[in-house]
Amino acid sequence: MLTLDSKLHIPASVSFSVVGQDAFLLNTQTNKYFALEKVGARLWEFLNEGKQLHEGYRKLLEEYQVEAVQLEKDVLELINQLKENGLVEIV
Amino acid sequence: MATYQLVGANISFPGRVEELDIFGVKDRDNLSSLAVSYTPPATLPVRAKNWMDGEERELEAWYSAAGILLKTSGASDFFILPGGLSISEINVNVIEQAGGGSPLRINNLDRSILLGPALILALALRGIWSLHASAVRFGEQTIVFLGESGQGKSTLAAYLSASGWQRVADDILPVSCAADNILAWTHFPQLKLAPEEQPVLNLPDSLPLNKICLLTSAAPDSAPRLEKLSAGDVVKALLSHTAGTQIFDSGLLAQHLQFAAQVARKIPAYRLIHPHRRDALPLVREFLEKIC
Repeated sequence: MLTLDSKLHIPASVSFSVVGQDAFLLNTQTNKYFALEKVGARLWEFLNEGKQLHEGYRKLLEEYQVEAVQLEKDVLELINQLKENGLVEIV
Repeated sequence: MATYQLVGANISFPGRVEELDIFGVKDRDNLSSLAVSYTPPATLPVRAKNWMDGEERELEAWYSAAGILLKTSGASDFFILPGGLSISEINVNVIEQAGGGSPLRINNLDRSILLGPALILALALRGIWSLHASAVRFGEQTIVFLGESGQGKSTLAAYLSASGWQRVADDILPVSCAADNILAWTHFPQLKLAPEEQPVLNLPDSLPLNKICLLTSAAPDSAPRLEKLSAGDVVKALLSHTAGTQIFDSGLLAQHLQFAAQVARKIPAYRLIHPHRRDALPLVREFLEKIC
């Protein structure tokens, strides 16, 4: 089960670019694009820097005015979607 | 074989393509067919539906280290060598040869493949991406107009060119990233324009691209307006309005994404929301002159 303590990895088959406040991801296995905006793109940047999910979550809590419980729910939902589309893997 | 100077390089084609005559035929004596035997790679091809010669047809692109094989039912097979400087015909389907040493001519379907997906893939292999766009030049500034079909790209370029601007492209604009800037390539056939209207006649091979303008519709009775476009929206627009991406493999798609990101970081972009009325065009021109 996915939690904030899960260890994540960005597969080599994912190509991406961060532009402004958006991140654009390409799964080269399926040739599908995905766009992340603002908070999602920021979380992606943290993951790409090698930060663990819980670290990224804490950084987002510092940077955005958001309820911790709501942020946890949103982050886990986003990671689940990324996982389903082959954009992150749980190690 | 025929060689044409297109988009900054000589590209050889299997035979004469009349639409490219303006780009300087250097050799058209022999039909170029690939001499090596080609075995399609074990991987599956990229497939896409394309309108070609008045019919929707399925196109297959087989990628391998040796190049890209393009197959379409009812048409010849074409092979694009790595580097994109040669497009050969693997099996000659219907070639008309006029008598007395006249140039070999390619049938309509093969021509639509050569001038469409084959040329677009050959350019993509060189890092040049074919935007489905019109473009104009005002002073030293080149503006590209992106937008869905029917948003007025060609109409706006034609209006501006009749008002003293220079038309750079009508339908397709090849664009690439250089070290310091983004280049728009002018030596490309604009198939909907007459030979005497081809922008190549009056322009250098390439120009720095200065502005991007995404065209969207406004209500018919409203006034046009121009808004800044975010970098993220520029990436989305470039991903949506590049020709041939349906037949790109994952490697080309990844390169294309990096291209779109680079352009979005470097070029100011706007959204032009305009009603499709001729009497609104002078105001549109004023807006565009202000950002140039």
